[in-house]
Amino acid sequence: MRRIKIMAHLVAGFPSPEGWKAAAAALRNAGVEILEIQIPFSDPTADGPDITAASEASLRQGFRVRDIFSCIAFGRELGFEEIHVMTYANIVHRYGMEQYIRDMADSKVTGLIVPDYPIEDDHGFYRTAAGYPLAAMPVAVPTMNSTRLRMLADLKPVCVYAALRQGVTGRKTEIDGETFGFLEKLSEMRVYAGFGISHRDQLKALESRAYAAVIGSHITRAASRSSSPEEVYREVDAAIHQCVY
Amino acid sequence: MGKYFGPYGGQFVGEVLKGALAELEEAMQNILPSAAFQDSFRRLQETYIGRPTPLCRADNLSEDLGGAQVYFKLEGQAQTGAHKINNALGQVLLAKCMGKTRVIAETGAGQHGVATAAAAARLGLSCDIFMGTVDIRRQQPNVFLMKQYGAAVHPVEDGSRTLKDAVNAALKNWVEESSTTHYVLGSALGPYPYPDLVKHFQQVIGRETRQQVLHDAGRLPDMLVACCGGGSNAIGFFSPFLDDPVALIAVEAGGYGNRPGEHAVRMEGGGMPGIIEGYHSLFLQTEDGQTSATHSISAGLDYPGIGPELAYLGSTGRITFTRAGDREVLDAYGILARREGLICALESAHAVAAALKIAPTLGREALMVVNLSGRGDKDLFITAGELYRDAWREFLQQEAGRLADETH
Repeated sequence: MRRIKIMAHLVAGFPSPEGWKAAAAALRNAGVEILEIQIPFSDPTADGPDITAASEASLRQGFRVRDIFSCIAFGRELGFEEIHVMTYANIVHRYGMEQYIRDMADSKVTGLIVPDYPIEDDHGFYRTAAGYPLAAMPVAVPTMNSTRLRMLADLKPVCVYAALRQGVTGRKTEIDGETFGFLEKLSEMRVYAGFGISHRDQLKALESRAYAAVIGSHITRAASRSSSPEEVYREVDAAIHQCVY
Repeated sequence: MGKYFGPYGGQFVGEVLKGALAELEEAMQNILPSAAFQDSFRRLQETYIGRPTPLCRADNLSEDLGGAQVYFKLEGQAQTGAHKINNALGQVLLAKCMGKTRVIAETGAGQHGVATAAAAARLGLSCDIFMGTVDIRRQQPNVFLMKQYGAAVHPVEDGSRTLKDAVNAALKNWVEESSTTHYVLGSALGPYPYPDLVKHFQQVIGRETRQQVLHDAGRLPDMLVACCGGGSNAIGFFSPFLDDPVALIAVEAGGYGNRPGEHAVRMEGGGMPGIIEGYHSLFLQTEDGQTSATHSISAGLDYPGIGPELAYLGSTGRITFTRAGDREVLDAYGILARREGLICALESAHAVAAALKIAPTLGREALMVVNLSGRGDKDLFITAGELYRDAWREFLQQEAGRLADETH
C-alpha cells in the first residue's frame, strides 16, 4: 500500500494534443492521484533538457495559453483528485495575474506553481491567490537559509513545492538524511517533493515525509519516444509503473 | 545600488538561484570598494585593457555633415576589440576574490565570450562559454578565439539557439555549480544585482569621455549617441551624464522591416512589459508571452530584451530611442572607414548611422560624442559578404579548396 501520493507532471500539448491526452489517461489509469500541467514557455530557466525540449515542441505545434483550459477539463474528466498548473512568470504577467488566478480557480484548478515568482519578487502573486479557492505553491530548496525559510513560513502557504536538490529538473536525486532534514523544516506545510524522481524506491523513502512525490522528466522522456497516442500511452504506462506500487 | 528602476528590474529567479545572487550582492558590497580590488583592477585596466581608450575628433565627418562637431570614443581599442572586456575582466577579478575557480558566460556575437575567455586566461580561472548553435555557425572566428584562450565552448541547442538561449543555459549551469562558479553575465540586464554590477564596470566609458571632452573642448558635450542591444555600452556611456543637460540617444537595431522577426526594436512600441531571464523589462514577445524572434545584421543587437534601467530611462524620456536599419548601418560603416579611417563593429555602426542623420540638424557649436563600442574586424565575414560579395566568395572557395587539398 503506497502511503504517498504521486503528482505527475506533463507539458501541455506534448508530444501532440492527442498524445498528451493519452499520457494523462495512462497516468490516471495507473493510479496517479494528482496531475500537474505545465503551460509551455519559450525560456524555461528552471527546467532540464527533457522538459525544455518538450515545451519547445509543444509551442512549435502551435500551443496557445488558452489551450490549457481544455487540458484542465480533460484532467478533471479523468478523475484526478487535484490538478495543478505550473508555468513561468511571463505567461502569468501577460495574461494578467489576477485574471489568471481567477480563471484557474473557475476551472477548479487546485494549485498554481510559478517558479520565477520568488517569495519577495512576486508582484503580489501569493497574496492575491490567497483570496481564491486554490493554493499558490511557493518553491522551497535545501539551500534556503533560516531567514528565507522564515519568509516562506510568513506567507502561510498551505502547500509547498520542495525541490529536493540544487539544479534543474531531470537528473536523478539521491534521497538521504539531508533530504529528510530539509523536509522536516517544511513539516507545517503540505509538501509536494520533486526533482529527479523516477523510481518507487525514492517514493518509499519519501513516504510519511512528503504528501506527494512529483514525477516529471521521467514521464516526459517516455512521452517523447512516440507521437502516436497508442504508443505514448504504452510508454507512459511503462514509465509510471516503475514508480507505482 | 537599486533593485528596481521604476517598475523594471527585480530578481525573478527560482529559489535555487537566490543564494548565489545573495552571495554576489554581498561580494559587490564588500570586495568592489576595497583598496586591494581597486588597485589590482586599475593596474589591469591600464596595462592589459589599454585604458583610457582614445577620444577622437572627427573633423572630416563633421565638415561633411555641416552640423555638430562629432567625436568618437574608441572602445574598440580595448583588449579583445570591444567594451565587453571592461565588464568581463572586472567580474572575473571579482570571482577570483570570491574564491571561485571557474567562470561561465553566455555569448551571442561572441564578443563577450572572447572577453571572458581572455580575462579568465589572464587571471587563471577555468572558463566555459555557452553559445547557441546558430551563433556558433555564423561567428566561427570568435569560437576559434575563445578556444585559443583555453575556454570550452558549449553549443546550446534549445529554443532559437541564439543569445537568449545561451543566457538560459548559463543560468541553468550556474544553478548546478554556483559553489565553485561565477556567472559572468555580459550585459546590464538579468536578475539583480547584475544590471548594477555590469553598469559599475562599464561606467568607465562615460567617466573617461567626460574628462576627455572637458579637456579637449572645455565643456560637456550636448549629445551622446550609443547603440543599444541589451545596452551595456549605452548605460556605461550615459550614466555619468544622467544629471547633466546632455541629450542621450540610444539606437536599436531596425533590421530590414517592421514585422515581428525582422528587427530588434524593443522601445518605440515594439516591446511589451514582461518577466524573462530574471528581470522585468520590455521584451519583444507574442500576445501569449513567448519571446519573439528578432533580427539584426549585428549579432550583438539581436536580442528580444533590454536592460531594465534603460527601459525605465526611456519611459521617463531621459533617453531618446531611435533605430537604424541594416542597410543604413552598412552605409555608415563604409562612410566612417573612408572619412575617418575607422572600421567599427556593425553594432557601433548603428550609432554612427543615427549620428549621420542627427548631426546636420544641430548647430556648428554643438558637440556630439558617439560611442564606437567595438571595432569591425570581427564582422569581416558579414561585411565582406555584403559589400564585396564576388571577390569574397572566390576567396573563401579558394581557401576551402586549399584546406581540402592539405587534408588529403
